[in-house]
Amino acid sequence: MYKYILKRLAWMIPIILGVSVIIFLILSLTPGDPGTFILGAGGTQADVDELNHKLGYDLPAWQRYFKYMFGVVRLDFGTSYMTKLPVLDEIVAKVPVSVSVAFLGILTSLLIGIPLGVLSAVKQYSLLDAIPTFLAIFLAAAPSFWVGLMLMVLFSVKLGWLPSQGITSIKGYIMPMLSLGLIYGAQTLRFTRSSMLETIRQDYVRTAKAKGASKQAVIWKHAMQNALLPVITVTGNNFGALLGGAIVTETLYGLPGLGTYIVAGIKSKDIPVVMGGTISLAILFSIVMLLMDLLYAYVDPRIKAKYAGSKG
Amino acid sequence: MKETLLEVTDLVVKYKTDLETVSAVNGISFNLNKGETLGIVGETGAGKTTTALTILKLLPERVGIIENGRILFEGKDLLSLSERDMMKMRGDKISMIFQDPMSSLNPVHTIGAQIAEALKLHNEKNRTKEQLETRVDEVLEMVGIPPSRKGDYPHQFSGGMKQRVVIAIALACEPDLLIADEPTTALDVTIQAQVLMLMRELRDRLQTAMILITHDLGVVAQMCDRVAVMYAGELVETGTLKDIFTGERHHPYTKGLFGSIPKLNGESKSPLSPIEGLMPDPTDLPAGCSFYPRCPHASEQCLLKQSDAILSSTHTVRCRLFGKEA
Amino acid sequence: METTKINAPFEVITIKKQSQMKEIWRRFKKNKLAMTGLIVLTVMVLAAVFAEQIGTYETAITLNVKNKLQNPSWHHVFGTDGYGRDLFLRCVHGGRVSLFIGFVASIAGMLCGGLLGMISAYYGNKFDNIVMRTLDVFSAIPTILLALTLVAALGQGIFNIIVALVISRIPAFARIVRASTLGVVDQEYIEAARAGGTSDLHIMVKHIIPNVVSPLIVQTTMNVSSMILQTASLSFLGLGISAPRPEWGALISEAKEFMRIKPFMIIFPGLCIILASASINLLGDGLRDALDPRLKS
Repeated sequence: MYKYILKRLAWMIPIILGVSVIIFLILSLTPGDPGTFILGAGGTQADVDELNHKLGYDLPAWQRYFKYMFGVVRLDFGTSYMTKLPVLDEIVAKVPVSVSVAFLGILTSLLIGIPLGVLSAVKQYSLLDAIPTFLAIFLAAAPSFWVGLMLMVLFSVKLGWLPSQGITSIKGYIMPMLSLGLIYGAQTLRFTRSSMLETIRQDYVRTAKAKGASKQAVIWKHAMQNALLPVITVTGNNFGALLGGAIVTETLYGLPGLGTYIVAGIKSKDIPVVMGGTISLAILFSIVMLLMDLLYAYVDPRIKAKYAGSKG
Repeated sequence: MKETLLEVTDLVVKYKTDLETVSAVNGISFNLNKGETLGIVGETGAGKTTTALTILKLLPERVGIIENGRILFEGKDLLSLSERDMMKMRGDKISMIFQDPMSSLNPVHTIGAQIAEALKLHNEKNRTKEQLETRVDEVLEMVGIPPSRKGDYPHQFSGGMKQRVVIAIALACEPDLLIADEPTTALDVTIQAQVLMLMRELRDRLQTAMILITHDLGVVAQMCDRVAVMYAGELVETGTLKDIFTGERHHPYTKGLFGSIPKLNGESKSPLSPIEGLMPDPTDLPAGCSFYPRCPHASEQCLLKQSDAILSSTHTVRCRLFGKEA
Repeated sequence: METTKINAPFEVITIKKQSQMKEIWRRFKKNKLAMTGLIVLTVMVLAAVFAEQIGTYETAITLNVKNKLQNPSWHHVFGTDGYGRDLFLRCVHGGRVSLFIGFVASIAGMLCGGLLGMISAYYGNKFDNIVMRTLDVFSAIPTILLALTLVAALGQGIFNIIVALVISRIPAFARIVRASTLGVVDQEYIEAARAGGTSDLHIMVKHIIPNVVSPLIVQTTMNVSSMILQTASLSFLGLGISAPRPEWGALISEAKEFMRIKPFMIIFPGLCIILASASINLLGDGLRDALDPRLKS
């Protein structure tokens, strides 16, 4: 098992290298240079050139890449062109915001999606199936920022209960959590429902019924754990996607997370910011995926046996 | 005369979906005495499994509909029993072994837990946890699995061993009736023999009555006291093992079944004579005898509804060829 | 006599194909939700195609400030926006952009990713390994972020957005096709064809593509809706379709500043996206069930 974890952690190195190459490549194709961006229209060409030189931007792209990556190895992610602040410090400050928003969003989505998904599978063809399924189809088709805006209209504009921007108080987390929870909850609901429907048709569920188990016992004891196995995978993927995919929600609610940080960096061609942000996202993503795999092994004895086997 | 355990009369079961209605079981009647083994033989899709699931009332919800009939078990009408009372029956009085041991066990529970569950659900003797565990060990030993393996998961067992676990679950509460639905079809031939032997031994030891569903006449010959031949949801012939396996007077379908298996005992060098054609579409059964489209003796009279001809006190055939002798 | 003998197999095949299509259509028609999706989507596509006939693009982008922020009425069904333009007309023209990007990006992504996945699985070994590891790297970058950086590099505009979306979707398509190809490639009839000296291209076209086409059709359909949502997100983040051209996501973004006084301006374009994307999802669900009844729950 430990060997497996180590192997997975080691695999993160080529992933990070790959991600950095891709992003760096795309960024160096982006038109414009940081000097012009920072000085704006007021700067003379000489000023711009000097600034570019000071930022190391006058070197060829591949040299800049290696210089940057040597820094990264020493945990030096450079300084932002725009704010002049060390990128690492900013990332360290922003990661907790993004992770907690993503985590709260996923948690809400599970709290919404799993019970309703199970309910609509068990009560298939009834109104208790039709209503959640309809809502799920609706929400799965809605853009996340639209859902977010609707919540804002309701809770900030009409009711005035929650702040529309920022996280100066704990209340600020509620709407981002709710909007992510609704969108991803819709997905979880649909997935749980179909997984549950498939599971309750399995032979071992029939075996349990033939033993004399009640409908409730069959659902909770036999079907549930099996039906949730694929849901774990989807949740893991969603969580990974949310770390960066919450960009839209972070922007909408003005949350100081990684997403808004990277978007601002992209817009102003702040290369160290985009590189640092993306690399930390890739690391977070890989860690989440690893944790999900371990969780999967924990709940599915078949997978656990596989890992144990690969160890010996 | 032996005591009757199960009496099925005029059972009609249909599967109704938005798209079509499948007539799976079309008015079958049979009975089973205590300790006796009845073999139900027929092709895939003849309605054998449906019959079994109907007795346990485990037909797929909403879709499987019992349109007519009565099932008396120890004098009680199962069809009028509440779900609650039916739950008490399942696993305790009536158990079932399913066809595919690979998928019949829950992959995320240990086999010990799965056996213990059956015991806990029917714990009339109020056994303590320790006593239940002892009983799990006993049951495992009974089916030839070392009790030390009760903490293992199904994926750690071979197919034959899994079927032993399934048998252990079914027999844990010593039921009066065991329904075995093609218990050996999914297994290798050598394992098949072992499992059959185990089932026969346990049946004799526990005095369990059994309904054995199979399409394998060899299995029937080894295991059964009486045989019912099923075709397109009907019982076309019933009789003792001897009635069915010997003599000349049989339903053409039964003859066809026997003609489809190779004989190795020398003399008859005759080639295999498989039954021509396919079973009729269960969504659109022919009127009258359902076998008539494939029957070598078909005539116009076969288009009428057929009734059972009684050949002897134990032997009945549903075919017009024997009608006059009733 | 001779000619009929030769022709017979071909006829059998075409008849079989026809009846297969009929059978799929028969199954599809029974699915009421999927049929609803198909009808709604058809109406929206028709509206997008004949947008000029409903009201010219010129009208949709011409400012008319004295008419601004009108509530929905018979004259302006969806009301008017901050510059007095008819919101319904802008939604119709917006649909033109959103649906166009959605369909083109999805089909292009399917072709590129599908080809990559098929070739990768077919040739296997080292090549497959390299492709798969590269895809692993790509999947560690959130798709929206990848699309965002690509648009920043390529510049805004419909074509560039499509390119960015296609690139960010290639890994997903490649994986699906690779998985289905792997399922076919080991089959004996492929081995037999290879052993018989059939060219790789011929094997791929005749044997592999027909086997991967159903999951691919379903996936491509479903993807249209994610592409529409993705385009909307790009617009919302300020790197999508830029003013004055209407696009559903951009319309919502524009309406944001009037959230306090005219929330309907957010609701209508949002409903357009939801209607289109939900119809597409239902259509995809229906196609999946119709193409492969075994998967039906």
